[in-house]
Amino acid sequence: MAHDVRRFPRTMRDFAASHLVSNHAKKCPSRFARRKSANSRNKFGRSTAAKGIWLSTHVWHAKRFRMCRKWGFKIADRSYQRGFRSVLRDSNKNCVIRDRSYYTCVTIQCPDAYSKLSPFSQKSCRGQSSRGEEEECHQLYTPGKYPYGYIGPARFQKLTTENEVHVWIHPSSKPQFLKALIKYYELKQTENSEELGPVEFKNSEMTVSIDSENLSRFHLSGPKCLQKIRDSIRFVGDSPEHDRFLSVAAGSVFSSMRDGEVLYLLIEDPRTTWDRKLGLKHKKVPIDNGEDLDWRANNPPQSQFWNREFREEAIQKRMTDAQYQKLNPDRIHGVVSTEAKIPILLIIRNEGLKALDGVDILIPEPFAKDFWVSLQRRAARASGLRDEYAAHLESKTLYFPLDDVESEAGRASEAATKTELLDKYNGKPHNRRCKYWSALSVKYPFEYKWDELVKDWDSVEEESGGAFVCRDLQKLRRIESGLKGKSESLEEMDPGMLLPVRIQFFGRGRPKKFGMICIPTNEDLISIRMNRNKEIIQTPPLLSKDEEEEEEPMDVLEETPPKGLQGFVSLEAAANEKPINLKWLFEESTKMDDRTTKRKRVNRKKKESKKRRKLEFESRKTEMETEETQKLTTNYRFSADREIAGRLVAGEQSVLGGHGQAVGYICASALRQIASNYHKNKTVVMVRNSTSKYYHPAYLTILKNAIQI
Amino acid sequence: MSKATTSLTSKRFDEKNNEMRRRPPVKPNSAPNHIYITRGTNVESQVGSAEKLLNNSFDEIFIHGMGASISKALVFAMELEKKFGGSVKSDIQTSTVVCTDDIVSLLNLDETETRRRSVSAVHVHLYRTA
Repeated sequence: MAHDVRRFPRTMRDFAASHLVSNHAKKCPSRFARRKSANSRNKFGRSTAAKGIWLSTHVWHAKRFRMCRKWGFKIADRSYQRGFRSVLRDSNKNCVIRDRSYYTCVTIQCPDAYSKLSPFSQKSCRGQSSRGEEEECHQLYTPGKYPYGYIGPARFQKLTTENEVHVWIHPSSKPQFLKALIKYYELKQTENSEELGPVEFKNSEMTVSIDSENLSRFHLSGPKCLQKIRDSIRFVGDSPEHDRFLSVAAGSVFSSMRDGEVLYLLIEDPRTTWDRKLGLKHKKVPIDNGEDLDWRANNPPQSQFWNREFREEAIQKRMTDAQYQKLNPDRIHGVVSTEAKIPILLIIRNEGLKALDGVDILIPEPFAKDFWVSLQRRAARASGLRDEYAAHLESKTLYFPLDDVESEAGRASEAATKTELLDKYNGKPHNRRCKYWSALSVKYPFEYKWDELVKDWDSVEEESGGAFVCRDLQKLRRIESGLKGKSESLEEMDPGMLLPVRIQFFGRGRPKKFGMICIPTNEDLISIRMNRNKEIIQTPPLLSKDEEEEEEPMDVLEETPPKGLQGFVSLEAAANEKPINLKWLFEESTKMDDRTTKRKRVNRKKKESKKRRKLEFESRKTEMETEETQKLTTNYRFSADREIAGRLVAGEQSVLGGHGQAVGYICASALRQIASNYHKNKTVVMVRNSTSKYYHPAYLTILKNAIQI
Repeated sequence: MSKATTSLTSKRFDEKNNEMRRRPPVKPNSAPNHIYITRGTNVESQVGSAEKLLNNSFDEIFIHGMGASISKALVFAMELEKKFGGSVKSDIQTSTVVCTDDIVSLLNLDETETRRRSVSAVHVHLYRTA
């Protein structure tokens, strides 16, 4: 029996089709069919969690950006067309856009949902409060485990009905949060009949649904972000929210809006604004000068955005690209309105972080790509993950999860970085490898080992839980004022506490990840205060004191040969002559042709090299063993010339500041030792990169901002 | 429930338990010939770029300074005038800029306040005479 209906005569095909039951897998569609834009996503096993889920703008990005697999998604990393400078310029003067749709929206529905989440959110770490429906950033902890058990930052939006909270969370911390939530409220997963519907967990009163791929989230930053949005949308009808948006969009978003403020808009299909030549004419509204401080209190939100049915209705009414393209040329001004009316949500980000402030946009996923293209046609600069990381460093703040050291997500990213770096290191030939221990005294070049460092400083026992990061904002403020000398003294620190710090170089040097924050000696301080540019160098630890003394005069005796004058050619005949061995001149060339001798010589050479390799391998092995024993016996804190107080998690030359800038963590107990190290009213520490022997002086400040996503 | 007060009876607040977040003031103009002097501005380097602006692109520039940077803005304007040696003249105007602050209580997060603060400002109009 044939499986393919085309094997039947044409006249019999209709009859035969009903009788054909094929167990065979269908043949894969042709390459042409596969590459049609309508089929490019969610089909043929391309977009799976194992390979990385595609975002709605994936196809747009994949043509222009380097894509990388991260946190189960395919995310744009950096542009192939432009370097970092265009992004930097536009984030200062224009507008930069990033696709953050990989963040997951977890919806919690139950009576008084917001207070149900309070065991997870640590109040003292928040430092932000919301009015009405504003979005705010929380720090999540596993209930009852504070100060340990950090999960990660999350953005909460509670609705005025108080029965619903929407939590936006990073995909890397999602499993830990869900695990904790399910355990705390004893939730059970319900079976979902819809294939693409949300995953739901339930107990008697609470419903938790994860709507991971139905909403897209874009982040716009830069002074012109609201103008760009205004020019790329067409409003539906008239509403006070639209007027408010238009009044704010003309001025500066940062002076008139609170952090986390939300605006609900209802717009036409974004494709109706794609045409560049038509300038959109909006209603004229007086510009807001920040006079109405509490606009939201007088205008309670009325929107259907969080109504799932309303969004789905809009999605169903969406015109396909083919239909739209067919209709568009028939109209003089193109299509101005379609049946689909799309609710979108704008969230103002005004945290005082220069390169990150702007607007977040939430839009139903099927319209996201159209909206993205619409913004691109208004010249919003697209940027990737690398630029996001750079923007965080430029804004002197930590980036979750790459800069986090405590949560599961942070630890996973640290382990991944370690394996990547180790592979790269082991791939190099032995004579090209950096001698981290024997030459530079770096005990852990590819990892932090906070627990060990904290143990060295505080003599904490390992059972107590090891290191944790202080995120209590009030405590951080008190510590900072203590460091500045405003309050009397630094209070008693909890054992095992790490403090997030910002490092700013005031001389030369470019800090890097895994750099070490060290405590300067008195001589260092004097030389820094006297403005002497004395180089402070780490000496190799293997040299004992006697050897060092012996070697010192050797360095002095070593004289560099005097260089000849430039452009001067010596006329002396002997100057360029080299002595040649007489044997080389009269080598018996007849022997070379003798095959047996040749073979013998080759074999001898082989043997010699094998022996040499074996000897080298053994000597390297013993060397490594001695290194390992030395490392084991050496204290992490005292492993180098200067005491190690902390490590850097990220660092780079700041383009806006023009100096080296880094973020990292230090042990709280080390603070007392550096508290009196003043230079121009700032606390001074020494910083050394893991690949360098030079110590650089730098200013240290406590980071008081809560980590945000 | 969240409380929102728009003005405070007293300007004072407990600095230990509250954090003041200042929103950036409104810029009157964002054109490239408007120069905003802040406490962090390096006057020497800024004089160089302003000189370039006057020589190459514009016949007039506006210098704005507010609060602690008023004197710096005036020094900057004087320096520029001196550099051009009489070919540039200046008009000075003063004004008051209203800034907005958010005061967040770290103890009770539901109590946030937004308040107004008036700051003196100076605007110098430098223009070529010939």
